[in-house]
Amino acid sequence: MKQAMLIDQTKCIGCGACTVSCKAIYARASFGILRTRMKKYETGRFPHVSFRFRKHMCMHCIENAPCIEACPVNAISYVSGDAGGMVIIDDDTCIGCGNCTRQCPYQAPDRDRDRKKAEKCSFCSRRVLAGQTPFCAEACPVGAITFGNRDDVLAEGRRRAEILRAKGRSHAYVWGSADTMVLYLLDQPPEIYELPAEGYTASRQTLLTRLATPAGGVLAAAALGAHGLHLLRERRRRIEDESKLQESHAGRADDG
Amino acid sequence: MKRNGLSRREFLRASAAAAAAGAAGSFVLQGCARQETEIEPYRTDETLGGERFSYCGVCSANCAMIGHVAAGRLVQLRGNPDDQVGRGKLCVKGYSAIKDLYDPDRLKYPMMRTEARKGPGIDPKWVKVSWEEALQTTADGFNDAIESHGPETVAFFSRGHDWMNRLRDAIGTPNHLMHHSTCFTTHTAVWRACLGMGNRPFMLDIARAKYLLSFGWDMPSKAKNMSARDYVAALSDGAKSVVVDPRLTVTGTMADEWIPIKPGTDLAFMLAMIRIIVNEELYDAELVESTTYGLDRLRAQVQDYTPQWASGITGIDAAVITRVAREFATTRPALIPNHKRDAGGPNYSNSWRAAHCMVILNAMVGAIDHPGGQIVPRRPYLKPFNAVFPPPEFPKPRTERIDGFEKHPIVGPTRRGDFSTVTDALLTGKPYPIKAALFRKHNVLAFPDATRFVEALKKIDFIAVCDVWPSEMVQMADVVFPEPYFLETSGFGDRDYHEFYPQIALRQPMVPPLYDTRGYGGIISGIADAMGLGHIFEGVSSSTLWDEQLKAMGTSWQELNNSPNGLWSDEKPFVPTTEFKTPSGKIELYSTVFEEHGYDPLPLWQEKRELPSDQYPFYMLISRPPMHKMSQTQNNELMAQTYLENAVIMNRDRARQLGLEQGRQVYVESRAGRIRLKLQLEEGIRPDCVCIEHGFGHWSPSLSIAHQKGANEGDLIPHLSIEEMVALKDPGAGACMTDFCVSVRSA
Repeated sequence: MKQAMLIDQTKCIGCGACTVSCKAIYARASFGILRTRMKKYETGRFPHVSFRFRKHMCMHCIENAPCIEACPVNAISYVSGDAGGMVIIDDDTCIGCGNCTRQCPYQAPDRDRDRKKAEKCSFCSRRVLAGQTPFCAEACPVGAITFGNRDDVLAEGRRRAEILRAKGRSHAYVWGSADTMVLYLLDQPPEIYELPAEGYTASRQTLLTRLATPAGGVLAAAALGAHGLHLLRERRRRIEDESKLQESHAGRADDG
Repeated sequence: MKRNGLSRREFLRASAAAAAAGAAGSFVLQGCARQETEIEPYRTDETLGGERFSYCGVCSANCAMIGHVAAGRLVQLRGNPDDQVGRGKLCVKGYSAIKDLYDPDRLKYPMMRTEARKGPGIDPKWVKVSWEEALQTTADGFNDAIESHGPETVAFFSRGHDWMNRLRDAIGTPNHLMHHSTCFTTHTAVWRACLGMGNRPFMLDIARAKYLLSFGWDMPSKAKNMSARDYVAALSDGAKSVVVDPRLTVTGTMADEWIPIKPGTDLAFMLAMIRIIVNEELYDAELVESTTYGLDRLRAQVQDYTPQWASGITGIDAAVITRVAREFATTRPALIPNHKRDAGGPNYSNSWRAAHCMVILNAMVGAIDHPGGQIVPRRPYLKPFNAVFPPPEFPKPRTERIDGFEKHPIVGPTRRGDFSTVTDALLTGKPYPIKAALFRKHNVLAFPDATRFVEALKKIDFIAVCDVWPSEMVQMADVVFPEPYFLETSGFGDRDYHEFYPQIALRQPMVPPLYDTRGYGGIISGIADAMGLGHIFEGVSSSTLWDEQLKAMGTSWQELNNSPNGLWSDEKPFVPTTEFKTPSGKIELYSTVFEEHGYDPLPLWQEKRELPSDQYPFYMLISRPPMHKMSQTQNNELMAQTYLENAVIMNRDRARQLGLEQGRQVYVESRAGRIRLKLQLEEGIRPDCVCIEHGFGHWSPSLSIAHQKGANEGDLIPHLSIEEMVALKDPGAGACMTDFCVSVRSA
């Protein structure tokens, strides 16, 4: 059963309950190195101003996670099972080089310089495989994090987005519908939250642009292999097919 | 660095290439192979260990919690799903409490100072002492003060506590002080006068409200568990929310409308609302007729308060005020939520009048003790300590207190004390000196004009401090008593911050005490024993007390301990209150109690005490971040990782005009003092305001994480003399926590 986590940023109060309940359990990283953290984004000018939070974390790219490709020592991998794309770092193997952080479209892995390790969300993979809920979803005091069957979660997200749009929040949409295990319910354009406009597709382009720099040349050459390009094309096609997922963009277009 | 003839950079690049080349075709397979190498602590419920029940002691909401203990160590805290307050969740502070338990900086044994001088930067030169020595030294300190100067020269700075109250009464001192005058006594005064109840009137049924109008109420920003949850739930259910606040808060940004009002003018906004609602007869006629008193006098009183008038004072369009008034009165259930330091809290000299308006407006729309409104908690009957253990005859204490709190007839009987006047009394020794004091928590950072309070503490001959952490107050102590953290203790607590029906939560120790600590009651009875007052606690024990209290409710300590969910509930249906303990038996819009005691029986417009000047051009706002509890948790390793130090928050445009940029170190100065902080620029704050979040600026070097992080805005808050306080004619004796202005200059 494919699973997903929907983070409703329109409900999130930015308190950090997820951050601390995660760090209380996954405690090996140094002080200040966090698997998930809150960021605040302010838009507009006084007095027409608002702000939103985003729960930063690993998005768990369903396929071809750039961090896996970027890791020089193969420390990052997918967890097997049918939950989806849970990406984990093997702490013993990791050398803390920071490549994964640099190549991640979301800068999700935190580089723990003291331990010389990368640290990121594991999606509580052991818990998920055991049929349990990730700690952060369980902890959220306002119920902003929904975890479960991907189709259900997505349907719930769309339903919420529709309600919000009906209430006049014309930007409300589900972000990341096709490519990541982590989905967001947002009511501001994605760039406000430092998110790529079109989920993984754009992320992939960002990755390729970055890899095309001289320093990343070797990696780029490898990553641009025929197989990689094929996967990329496949994904684009699939996303286009799932145009119903693009309700968000329709919503935003209406709003100008 | 060279490795195998390659530089580190070359090595990484080569490795990356190899990995990437291999990755394209085979990464899924690799995933299978690697899954098993995931290292600890990828815990599942099975590895979290056995369950223990408690309720949170970080704040007074007391959310019921479940702790997982594996191999003798508390591994995780969760909410208890059957608890009315938390409903299965904790807040960020509750989840973090686990790190307070294991904070290596905790007080571990009784200590005495060997350095006579006291203050910041002075090492107390602690020596570890036995409990007997610590208790006897304290008893001697108290007895010396009593014999040489009289019992009133002993003071207690502590929340009310059955054991402590009895020792206080046995000694015969009137001087018992708590923090409430900095926190919510304005609300208390109004509730006592207008409703005849409500020492802590904070229970809100936000989830069922359809129109929420907040005047500075911002508990979602502070992550108060039930408020945040219910606010989000109400909005999801389609409630409309309007937030009146000089700063854009979490509550405000989630709301439908943010109204950035001029600080301290909420009273004018509310007076104009009352006028509209009364004149247009938009109130709930039936309920107002049957349950309130004084509508006609109120109508006559508010006629001058037109929306145009209020607009001139608040800076808000008259049309907005009118629209909000009509929306509030015609959308049911509507509610003005309140909790402590909102616009009705002890922030300004006129805040108690704003609190009075809140009661009036809520009463007019039927929000007092009705679903979707402000609720009187349905507490279980808690048999009083003195009924279980009848006290011996005690001498009547001197009436005159050092802080003048007895001069406030409405809140005086609560004996909560006045934090803003006490500094003067300690420094001047007038009306009389304090020679010995016991502090429980009540850290120095919490007092107005905190630096001056430290000077005042030096005038006290003997100070004993009970605490869990080596706070600044501990640094000022002669004797230090270490207390256990709540996760090491037993007991039970009701749910009075969110109690629709009586409910009790069990507290079991999660782990045995980590250090040589004693509970507060034990410390107090130890001091009493050593003072020669052992008889006052003869036959007194907490186990007897708890059993008697629980039996009076219809359960027992044993039954509660065997409860499968750690709770005892008496699920009675909710019936709104129609009889109030006021002289008229009704909600007194016109308060005969205020009238009797010489306070204005109806709210009148009154300007706040201080306005911006050339010297101090900014209004001061004080807030609190969600992940900290006042000045108590800055040393918590988890909370500190999410919020390590505070800053002074200023409007971006205003800063640009002043040539100040983000991150610049600035001095913030008031007539009381000056602090240095980093500047944080935001759009969501009025250009004439600055805001500082409370809890920082710890100077105790024993707090290894919190030490010297940020600054304490308490240093800016002017203290009050007793005469000034009395002259304010505030029935709640509020400490005017933000009724002053500041300047901001580059450091």
